[in-house]
Amino acid sequence: MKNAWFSTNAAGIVAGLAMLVAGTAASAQQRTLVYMNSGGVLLEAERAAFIEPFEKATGIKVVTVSPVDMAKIQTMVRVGQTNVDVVQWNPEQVVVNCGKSLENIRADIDVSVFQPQYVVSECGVPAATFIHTFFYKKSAFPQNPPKSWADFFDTTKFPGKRAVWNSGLGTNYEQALLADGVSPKDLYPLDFDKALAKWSSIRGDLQFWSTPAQLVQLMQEGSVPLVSGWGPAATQAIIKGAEYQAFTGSPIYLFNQYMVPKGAPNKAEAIEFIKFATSAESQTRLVSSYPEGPTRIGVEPKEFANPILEANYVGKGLDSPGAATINPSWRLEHQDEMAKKWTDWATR
Amino acid sequence: MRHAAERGAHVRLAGVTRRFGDFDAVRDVDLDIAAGEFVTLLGPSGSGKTTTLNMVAGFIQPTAGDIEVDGRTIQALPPHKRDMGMVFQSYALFPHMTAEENVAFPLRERRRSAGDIAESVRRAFELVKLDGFEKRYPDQLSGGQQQRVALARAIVFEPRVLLMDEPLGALDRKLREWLQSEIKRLHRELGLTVIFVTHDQGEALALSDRVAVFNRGRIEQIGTPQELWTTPRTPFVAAFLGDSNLIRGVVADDGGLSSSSRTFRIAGQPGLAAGAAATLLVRPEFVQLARTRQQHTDPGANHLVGHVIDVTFLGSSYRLTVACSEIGTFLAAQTAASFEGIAEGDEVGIWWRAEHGVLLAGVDESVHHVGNRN
Amino acid sequence: MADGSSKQGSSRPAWLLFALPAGLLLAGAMIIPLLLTFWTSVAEPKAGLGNYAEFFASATYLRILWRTIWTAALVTLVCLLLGYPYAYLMTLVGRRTRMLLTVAVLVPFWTSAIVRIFGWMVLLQPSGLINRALALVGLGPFELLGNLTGTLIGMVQVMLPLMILPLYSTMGRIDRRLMVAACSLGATPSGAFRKVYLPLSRPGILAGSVIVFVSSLGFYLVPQMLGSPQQQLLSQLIFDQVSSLLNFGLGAAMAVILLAATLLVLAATSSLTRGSSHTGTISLSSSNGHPTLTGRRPLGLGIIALFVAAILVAPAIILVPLSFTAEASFVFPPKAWSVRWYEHFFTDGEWIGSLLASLKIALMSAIIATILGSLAALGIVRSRSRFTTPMLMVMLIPRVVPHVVLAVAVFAFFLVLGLVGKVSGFVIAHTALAIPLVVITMTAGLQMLDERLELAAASLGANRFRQILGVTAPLMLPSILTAAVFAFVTSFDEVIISLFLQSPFLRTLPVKMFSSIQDQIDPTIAAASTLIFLVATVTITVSLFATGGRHAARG
Repeated sequence: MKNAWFSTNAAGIVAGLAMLVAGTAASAQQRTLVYMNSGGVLLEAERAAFIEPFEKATGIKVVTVSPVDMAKIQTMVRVGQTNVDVVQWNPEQVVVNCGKSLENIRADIDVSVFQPQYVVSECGVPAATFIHTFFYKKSAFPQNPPKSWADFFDTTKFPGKRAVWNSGLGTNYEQALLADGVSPKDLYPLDFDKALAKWSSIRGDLQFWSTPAQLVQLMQEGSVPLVSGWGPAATQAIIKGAEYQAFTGSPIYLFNQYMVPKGAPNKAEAIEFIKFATSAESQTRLVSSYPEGPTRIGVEPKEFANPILEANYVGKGLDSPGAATINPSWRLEHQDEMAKKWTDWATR
Repeated sequence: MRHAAERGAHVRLAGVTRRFGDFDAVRDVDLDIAAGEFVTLLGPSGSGKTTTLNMVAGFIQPTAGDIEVDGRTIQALPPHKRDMGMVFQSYALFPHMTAEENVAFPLRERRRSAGDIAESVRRAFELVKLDGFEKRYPDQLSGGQQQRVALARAIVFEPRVLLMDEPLGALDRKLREWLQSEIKRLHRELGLTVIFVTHDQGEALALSDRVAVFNRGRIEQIGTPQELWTTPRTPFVAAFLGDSNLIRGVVADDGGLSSSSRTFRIAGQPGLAAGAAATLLVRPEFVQLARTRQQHTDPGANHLVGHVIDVTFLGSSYRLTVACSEIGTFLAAQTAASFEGIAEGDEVGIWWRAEHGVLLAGVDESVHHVGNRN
Repeated sequence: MADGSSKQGSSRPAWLLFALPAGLLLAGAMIIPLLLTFWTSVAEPKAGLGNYAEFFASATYLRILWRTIWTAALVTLVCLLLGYPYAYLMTLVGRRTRMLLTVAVLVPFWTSAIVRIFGWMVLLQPSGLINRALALVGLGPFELLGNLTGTLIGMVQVMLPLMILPLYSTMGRIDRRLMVAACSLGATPSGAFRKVYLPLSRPGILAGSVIVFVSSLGFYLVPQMLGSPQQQLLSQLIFDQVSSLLNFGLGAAMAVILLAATLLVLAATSSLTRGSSHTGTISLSSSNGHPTLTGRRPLGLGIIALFVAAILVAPAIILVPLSFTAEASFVFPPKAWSVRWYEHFFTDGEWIGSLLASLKIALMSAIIATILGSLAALGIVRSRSRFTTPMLMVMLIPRVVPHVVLAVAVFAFFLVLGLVGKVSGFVIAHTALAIPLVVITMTAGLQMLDERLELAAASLGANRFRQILGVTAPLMLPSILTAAVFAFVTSFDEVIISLFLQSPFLRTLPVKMFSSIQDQIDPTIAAASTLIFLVATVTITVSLFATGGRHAARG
């Protein structure tokens, strides 16, 4: 197809220009691969855990892009100009876009090595697990720290601001329902009205963050006694010196997927990269240096880069009675509703 | 409107001084202006005349001295309470208001009734002969029309003193002369006291009852136009008003003036000691020319010879520039009627009667030696 | 070619050919994409007005639309209240002070929007400098970030120069002797101000307010980074619709609605300005040193001006010390110092790569925009045809259309053309953005140019080409340079369209900074900001003193 020929060549030209612009000595013939993930502290950890080892082992240069922009990928695929080879993002996106803007890579990668609950689509390969929970400032509640999601919503016993991720696609509904006494097993289908009513009850004490960087910044400043959201980013903040403590009683488990957009210019390299990133060695390196858990069967880190990581290790708490796991198939069907209802509420 | 006689106010400046930093813009100015008098402050730019006007208007506070109107000091009054009309050099019409609104402005500020305002404005427009232009905006009026609107605006509230700051400077000659006569007429009709600032000596001579000549922040001389022209007290005044020939020298024993090569006769000039530095003024209008080199033997006259280097026709008269070997270039004027057809290059004899020479004390290095044209 | 000897005032449409290249570029880069956006809004996902119906049926969307208008109005009002005394003071002070005040206005104007917003984030954070200062006097801490306060402060700072400059240019033309005249006619000083000065400054008030209001309608970066979801504005909604909800049809409809609101405001105010044709000041002869009423400078005016100058400069200044922190956070003041973030900037391939990419794109855009824009201005000024006004309006489209709308439109169109992620794509888009500034600058310059000089050159035997090259171009050099600098800065500073056009291999510096702020705690951005800020400050100061010196020499 003429278009494909054009786009391949165009990508080559772009790559060449990029080399020129970046002033690197690398020749245009060098094999490259574009990897999109949410960036920040995650990218830092992944760079050490498997990106750099991969580059060293294969000679393929990995160009990283963040944050994840699925709309852009979808658009690029639609016009035949895909320029991203690997994406790490949530399972809902994999399921909803499989066969449309994402390649079916089942034939290329053996998924039997992963824990089955993380295999959700023929277009996705399980990446890592992580939790959403809340964190409290130790000095704010020295005697009697909050011990449940209900405490997070109790502003009389635990006064002060709460910083919350401003997204309907996170776990805000789940958090509110857990606080309202819903059992972790019965979260789905989500009762939006109940959840939002719960949030409304503490609306005056809420503050919002939008990116993990903001969450880390907030915690380093220490001006908000309670924050909820991304465990990895928050734990990273604690490692960097933020004086917060995680609530571990009832974490909400999430997991990410690797996916390959349709028409990815370096599909072969992409498959190679995913295999490398999900190898036992890579996952072990990652989870021992970053607050995420493995998706591969039998991965067990022996030592951690930091005692805080060990204390907050999320790889084994999945079976604890308070833990909840998201239901990706229900969530993907109700994505629009989740986003819209939250936006309506938050912008009210 | 009040009667002409009671309109004007008596304005008195006593020892008025204004200092900007260590520069005296105005120094020790005394000026007594009678009610209804038209006085012009005349001088080159930077001589302090406008600063003096601005002090009368209240825009600038004097550093020392006092300004009185009808015997009462007005030092403490802000400009808007001094009740003086002012016409600005650039008219300063409010561009966002029609001519009518401009003229009504001072009346509105004085909270006059609507009917009163309409009537006063109508009369003011009549007075400056601008009826029919009330609804125009300033940018739709010619320079002369704008000037008349400014004039109407300055007199409509019947001030007792009218201040005018180079009001005709931006206009062409014909319009200027016509407006001069209009201003004269208005002054006559309204009888208010006018203080008029200009650097144009012709304008000053044509309009004023009295002229105060400013130089470097002080008044050099005050007098009627005729006094200033015929008997200036200083070389500066002589040079500033009208064309002049000024010959520098020292007072001779016989009361004449000895210049580099000779002594000029002067009739009946007392007061200056022999040997003092002095300047002899000869107005070109008093200079006679003769075609021949033949010397006049009139014992009461001064004689020079030279050759004509320029003849300029000015309409009613001719101005001739003569190069004299003895004292340099010399100006002479001949009326068109008496012009003898002298041409450039002609050798001529020059003479003037001793009583037409005016001996001035001192020498002013800042004015030209001879042949001052204004 | 048009006949150069034709009479003044007659129409010479052939000159419009000069405007053709710029017109074609604008058509390709802006107008067609906008038309396609309009099409998308009625064609996706289903043909019809479904998207509009959805918008106007939703209480949330209407609330956001209303809030967008209200916020823009509030920003305009605050800018006017702060900018008016500041501009007024600028007309009263001496040359040196005026230069300082001008620098205070222009430096942030030329400092990347990202830099300024980032500066505010640092200043306004709960433990930031402002809250600390307030704590010293026993106040606070106040929540300044993530709410309307943050959005307002940020937007006002970004918009203040756009208010002050037209105000100052109008006030500079007001003859202060009119106030003196008013006083001599019996008006009190405050009455003279109210009745004479204020009405005369109305064109500036109008121009400034319209620019600020229209620009505020389309604000994305400031509310996104300093505001909160409770204060979400229409442009953020559009961005979200397209970027995270993949709802192209509704996003396009919202873009059309935002554009319509903007055009409505412009149409309404343009009729307002036409109604006041006599507010223009008539030219007055120079005062030849007459000591007019010495401008009194009340203390209050100085305090407001200092406050405004602080708002303008503070967010850029704060980043300088922050860039030397030894820590990996934005906590201020830093506990230890180092140059590690500069080291990082100059050794990190991504940072240095984005800097080089930005320089390259900005340089190319500046050159092309200056050439095309100057030709267009020449054509517009000289043609005097009835197409002049429509042509000028076409040229101004990129200034008027909110950037989020442009970004969404350009992205969709450039995708089809294969221009996304290409230097050429960036250059075309940025050139289109810069052309209006060039046209405005050059039109103003050309209108002041005495066309008779060209006729004189013609009478001396120069042909049309040599007239322009030999007479017009050298005389216009200051304007051309100004226009080129404007164009360069426009491209170098552009964020939103670049966000859409970026590829993994091609990212401009502002895009890199934007994602860095969103992405990780890394004071490298402070180092980058400091570098940009220094370059801008040096450029503007040098150029100001250079032109100031020339004016002085001229008398």
